[in-house]
Amino acid sequence: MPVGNARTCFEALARRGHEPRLADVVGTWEFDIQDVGTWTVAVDHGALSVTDNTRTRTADGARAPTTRLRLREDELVRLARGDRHENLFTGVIRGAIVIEGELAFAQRLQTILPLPDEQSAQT
Amino acid sequence: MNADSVAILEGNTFVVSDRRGDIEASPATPHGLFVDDTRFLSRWVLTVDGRRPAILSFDDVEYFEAQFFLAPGSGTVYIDSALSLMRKRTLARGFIESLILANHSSTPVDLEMRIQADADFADLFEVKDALLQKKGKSYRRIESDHLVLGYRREEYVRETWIVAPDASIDESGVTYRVRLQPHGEWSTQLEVRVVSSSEAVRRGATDRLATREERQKRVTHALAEAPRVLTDWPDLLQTYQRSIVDLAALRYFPLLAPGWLPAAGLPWFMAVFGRDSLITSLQALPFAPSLADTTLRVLAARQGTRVDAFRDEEPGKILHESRIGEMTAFAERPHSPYFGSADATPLFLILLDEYELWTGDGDLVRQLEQPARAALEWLDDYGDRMRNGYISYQRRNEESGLENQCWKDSWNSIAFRDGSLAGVPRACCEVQGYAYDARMRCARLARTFWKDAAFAARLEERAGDLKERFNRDFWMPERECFALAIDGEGRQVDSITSNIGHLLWSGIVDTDKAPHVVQHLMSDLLFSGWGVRTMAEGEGAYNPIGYHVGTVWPHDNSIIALGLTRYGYRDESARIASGILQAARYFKHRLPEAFAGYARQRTQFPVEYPTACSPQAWATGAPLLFIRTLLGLEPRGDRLTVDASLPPEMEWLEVRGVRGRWGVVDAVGRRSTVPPHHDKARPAPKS
Repeated sequence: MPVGNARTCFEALARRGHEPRLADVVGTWEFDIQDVGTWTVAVDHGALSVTDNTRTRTADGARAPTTRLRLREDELVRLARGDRHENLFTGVIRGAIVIEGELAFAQRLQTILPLPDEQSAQT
Repeated sequence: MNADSVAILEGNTFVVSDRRGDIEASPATPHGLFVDDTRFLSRWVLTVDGRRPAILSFDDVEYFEAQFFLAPGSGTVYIDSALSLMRKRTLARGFIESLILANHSSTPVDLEMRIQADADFADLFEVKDALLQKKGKSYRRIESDHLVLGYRREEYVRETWIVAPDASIDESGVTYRVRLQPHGEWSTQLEVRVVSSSEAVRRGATDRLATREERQKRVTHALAEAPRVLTDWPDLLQTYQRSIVDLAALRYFPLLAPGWLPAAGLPWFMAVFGRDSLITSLQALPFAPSLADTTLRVLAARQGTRVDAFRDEEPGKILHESRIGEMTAFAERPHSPYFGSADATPLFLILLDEYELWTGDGDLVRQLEQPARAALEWLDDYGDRMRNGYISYQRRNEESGLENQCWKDSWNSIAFRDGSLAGVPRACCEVQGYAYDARMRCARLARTFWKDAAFAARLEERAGDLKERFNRDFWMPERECFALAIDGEGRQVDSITSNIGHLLWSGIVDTDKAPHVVQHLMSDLLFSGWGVRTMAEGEGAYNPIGYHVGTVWPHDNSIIALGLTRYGYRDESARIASGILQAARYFKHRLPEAFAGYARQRTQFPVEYPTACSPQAWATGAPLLFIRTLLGLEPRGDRLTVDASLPPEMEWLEVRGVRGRWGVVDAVGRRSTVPPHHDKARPAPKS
């Protein structure tokens, strides 16, 4: 099933498990998806984990994410699928993606985009 | 840049106007206020009582500031005005314009001064292609103290705010009604601000925004920090200082990246270019080694990770060009970033090694081990498109990708001797040289820093094999020269070009073939008297004013001179350095990216290439590399060695304060008539 909404996007990300191209990276991307919810994607030397913050209570005083990205759900899906050649860069230039925190760290997210759909992930 | 244009710049913000300071963009006149690859002002025309003032004088005092001295016209051919007008423009996020009107008569004067403004929000690609096809909607509105010119397409919004508190504002400009007392003055200030809907673009702009004082401090700092050059050849001194200031002016803060690196050139290439940034950083190593550090980091962070035909991206590949205008934002152009470059990847590896040789910064080599290995894999894998052991290119993006992905990237640059174009894929000779050099250098890095002797041995073996095959497959016995390229059908592209000089730099040329290469480079067919032409006179595609098929490029010559030095041809190297540095005098000591290939004896002065970029980063870097080559500066272990070979224009050349793994040393060279022990590096005295 192709990624079609925020939930399926993050499920696809969670399935990545380990990404060797992020072996030198430690940090967190927090996604604030307008009117839908927030998710945190953490990477620890290539190991990826996804937390749905609408289901998991975040402890008070939790550390701020390395980078926070604010975007609409349709933009997230477009980004995740690479529709119309979308990538982080094009989304940012248009103003469809707002980034706070470390910009260079945000750029590393592009390493794992676009996301494979469920079918190709299983094959 | 056109000689009638005035340009001031700060990173990727720049204004190109006429000598009055007016902006009147047309397909033939790329005037404008450009920020982030977008034209925010396409018209900015000043009139006094409906007439354009006459030009008395202008000066681009600083790289970010220009002054125009004008006289409101009488309408006759004579300038006989009792009024004068000074117009000063300083770059900010947009620009600030100060206007001072002076009445030199003893009677009061009433006048109306107006500035007509418009913005077409053209993407720089639209300006280059002279084709404006906007898909969004323009709008205008008047606020209390400013006029807003705007453009919207979906969430992409760009606005130009013209803030003029003292003026009456209408939708097409601002008007001042002025009464000047006898011998009186009147002044005002306008601000042109640019506004973007992209928070990151805005933030990047704010981060790089500098005050006038900060900018001046930056120039002073750049000059103070750079090694001091002393010589009895004044032209070289002026060219050197111009280069250091221009490098500071060309600093560019890329989006989503740390630090700054040199943008490629004004006006078309104020953006990150992999190849240009790498070459410029390499040229500047003895003078500004920190450029290389940022360039390597930024390019590594954006290294290709997947096969993406639209962007010509492949795993391990180093980017070609990154843009942030509307056409990139909507993927009408692939520059987000675009990876169509066959040579940026090996050049990245070469710079990494050269940087360590000069600075001793092994930490960076260790930090960039993974990107370097990925780049080396690209050389073996995706780079070898024809599966014949050579790096070749053929664009995946047939619509807007580059046909030629070597430094000579215009459409007609890779041509046979009869002028016909080579087929694709194309394996250009100099790229094979870079690939050889990159593997040899990375073998050293693998052994010393990555502690992988087996990998180092494999790299050396591959390099040795490449050198052997290259000297066989690219050599043209009948022309006693290396072919420009091998095309998709395996044919030698048999034009004689400057590319062979890069082969000397890389060390791929067998020693028995080097004399033939040198003979070609110094022949009247290639050497114009000012420098080596990109293509030899007499070849089918040769054109002295063809962008890559006959013009002389200073950066190309700086690499050739370094190559000649590598193979021991010091006099020839000095002759090329001298020719280009003499040419600099005719360009106010700022070398353009290219000039015409006419023979020196025919024109007596170097003829401008009509649309050359200036300043341009690797032309700016060329004098720096020439100085290194003339002095024969080479890092050897923890020492800097000097072995000067100077041209007749100078008796001596000294660079004081060369920083590197040796600490800080002074390098002194004298002409060879003086005993060689005068050439030396010595510790710089403590100040």
